Amino acid sequence: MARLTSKTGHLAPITLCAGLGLLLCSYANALSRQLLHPTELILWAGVLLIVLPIGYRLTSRDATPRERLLLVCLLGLTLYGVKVVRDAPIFSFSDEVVHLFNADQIAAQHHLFHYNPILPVTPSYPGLEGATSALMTITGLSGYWAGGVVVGAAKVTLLAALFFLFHRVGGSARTAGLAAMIYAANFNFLYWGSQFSYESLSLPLFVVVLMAVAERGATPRSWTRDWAVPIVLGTSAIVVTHHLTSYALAAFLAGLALAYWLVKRDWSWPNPWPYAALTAGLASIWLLLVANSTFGYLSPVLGEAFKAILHTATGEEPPRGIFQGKGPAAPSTPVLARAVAVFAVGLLFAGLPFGLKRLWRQQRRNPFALVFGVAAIAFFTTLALRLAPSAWETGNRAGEFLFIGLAFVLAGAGLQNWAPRRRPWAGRALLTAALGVVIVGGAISGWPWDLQLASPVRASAEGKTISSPSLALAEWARKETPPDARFGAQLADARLLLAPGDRIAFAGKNPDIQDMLLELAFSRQSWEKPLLRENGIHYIVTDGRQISLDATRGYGFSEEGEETIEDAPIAIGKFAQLPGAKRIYSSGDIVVYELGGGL
Amino acid sequence: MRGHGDLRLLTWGSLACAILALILPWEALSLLFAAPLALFAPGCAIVAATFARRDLDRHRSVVLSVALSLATLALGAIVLNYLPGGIHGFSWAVLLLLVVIGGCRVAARRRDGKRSALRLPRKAPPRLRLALTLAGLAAAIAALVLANTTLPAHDALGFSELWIVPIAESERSEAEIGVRSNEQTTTDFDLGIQIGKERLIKRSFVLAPGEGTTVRIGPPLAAAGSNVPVVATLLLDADPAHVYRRVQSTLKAPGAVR
Repeated sequence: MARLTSKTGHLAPITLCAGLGLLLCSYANALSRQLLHPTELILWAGVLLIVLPIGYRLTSRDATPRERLLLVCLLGLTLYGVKVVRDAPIFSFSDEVVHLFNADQIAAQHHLFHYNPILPVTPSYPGLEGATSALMTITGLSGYWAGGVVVGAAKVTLLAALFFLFHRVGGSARTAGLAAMIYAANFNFLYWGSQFSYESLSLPLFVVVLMAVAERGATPRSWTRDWAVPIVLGTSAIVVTHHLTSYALAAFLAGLALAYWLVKRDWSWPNPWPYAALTAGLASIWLLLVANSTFGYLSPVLGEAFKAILHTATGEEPPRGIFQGKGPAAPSTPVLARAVAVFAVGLLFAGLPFGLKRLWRQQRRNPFALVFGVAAIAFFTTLALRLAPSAWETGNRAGEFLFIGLAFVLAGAGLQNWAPRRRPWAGRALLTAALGVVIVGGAISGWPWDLQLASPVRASAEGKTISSPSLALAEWARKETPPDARFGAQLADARLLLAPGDRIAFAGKNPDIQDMLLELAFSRQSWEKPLLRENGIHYIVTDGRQISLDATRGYGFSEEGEETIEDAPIAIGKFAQLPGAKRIYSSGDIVVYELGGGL
Repeated sequence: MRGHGDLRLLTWGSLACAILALILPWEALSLLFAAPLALFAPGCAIVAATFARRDLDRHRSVVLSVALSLATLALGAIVLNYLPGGIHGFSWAVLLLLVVIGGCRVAARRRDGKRSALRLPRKAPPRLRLALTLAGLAAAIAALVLANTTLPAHDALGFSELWIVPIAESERSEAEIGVRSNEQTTTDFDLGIQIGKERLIKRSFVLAPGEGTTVRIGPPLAAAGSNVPVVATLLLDADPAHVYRRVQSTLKAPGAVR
């Protein structure tokens, strides 16, 4: 019989399992796109078919570092595939269409920094969209395909860089492979962190910079200048790609510099304080010169988070229920799924003391390991932020960075080494099972239960393709309205009007389009007309469907019994009374008014 | 770069990729050449230049190559933004080639005369391993194909769109009324168009799912410069008593206003 193993060990059969797992995930999504409401167990079976063989092999002692590296890359690629097969052939995450609009604008207008009406801060951080524009303009590919390739490359880079980072810090390829895999259990890894959004590029670059800093510290001083190139290039790219990641990098490097000082009592080489200062300096310059709207974007989020923590702690505000969806149409998560998610967090927490104990014994003179230890503890404090309503998002974002430390600490706990005489495989089997639970549990915690599987935006009928109401509106707008047309719409409709509609569309509270659309009559103060004038809005999109208020769920087809907005006909009807308003489009629930000289 | 087979391959390979990616008319095929040019070559050249005097292991080198290529793309867009012509396929290809050629030249100089031959894999992997890997790849491709296949969704509520938009070159004296069916089955429609108080146009047609039709109307017969109301009403042939869709606009009668 031909041998299956070689320098790359069991990679071939594991690749087959990963491919079949991805196919199973795609099948679950295909059933869901047919509105057959399949059990999510098919999806999780597919994910486990990807995860478990890789996990079991990574726990073994005889895999080579090369095989471990290839396995974590395979894991990154196939788990990214799980997100891709959910969403093809258009982006459907609320932030994705915002960034896709930016990328389309760059490719069409040949310059950066074009206005984005829904997230005005995003054009000031054009790293991802700029990178995507390279593939779009060279090949002629759409933003969806070009962006998917860029994010895919970034995702594989993330896991490979994590492997090298952990290998360098921990000194063990086995621990490094497991730590990289544990990182895939962070709540945002499977879906949110795989979307076409700026953090999906900046986070991998963040890890690459850490890896380069770790390598720099472990090589002779004569190599220092060589490692400066990837560190400076990576840092610069992060600064122009994502605000929060650049601040996180500055904070991490500052913490690392402090840890170096605590361990060595010396600020000279290899203390990385110059890079912390460089990152802070570059981020500040970019913030002040290019992206000053970031103040207005981040300060309310962080301010509200701070207030929410105070209010929840003092009992002024009730705590947020966990597994509570954000949006009017969000259903609750089933009990069994909640149990898996809570069990996953319990497993992570249970491993923490063992990992920290081992870290203190073996690595307390290692500055990187010390920072990872602090990050691991801090991760669990961010879980508490999830109980404060407005602090949830802050905790969720911070968790992605802190999980790097937690993954390292947990991989060092040593369960893989537990080998009772009668069942020497027990430790490895238990750890593999735990990896399966924490990855599935993490995905359940990080993404709403009803959105784990796709909903259809296109369907075939009698051999032809039909589009969902929001997508049909966007396709109509792209074809039938002038390129400079500006719309006011509900959250979901506005996003698809941006991309693929390729039109400027306002939504939400800033400017307050949402209240204008939902109020039964125009206000006595008549703030609506100045708002429409100031923003140059000449088309108003009204939508009677409750789900159109939900930016994560509102893109698909309607089903029988779907909820409508209370008093929607009266609220919609008020636009017909505006002098000169014309009702130019109707698809049932969605109506478009062209506003004439009445403004 | 004489004597540095790897750098020569990188340079000429990038040039070939740039030319093929730009001239090939098929996007997917173009991507096969654009991806190594954009996602590997610039980083590889930077790594070669930076670590020219060190023995950085191959795996770290590959990961850094992809990462630094991504960083180059993120920063390169800002460079191109401020150059004449801006961000185009051609300017991107030139920029990436300049990074590759520059990196390779620096690498060749910094290697201190140490020559490096190109090493190619010595033997093919055993057939069984190759077969399993290809089977895994085939399953992944099948997953992507399935994900990109439009499937029936019988419980999805079908609907139809009706719209009226002015024809730009007619100065609002003419308009196009369009109907597009997103219904689940072939449907009979009746369209009624009332122009002003007197003129009524009626059309009946059958549309399969995904099909559409348009009717061009105007200019109206009215006093020059006056606005004439237009109301289009769509009825389902199966339910003629109920207005299914309705849109309205105005047409401007052509000619100078006196």
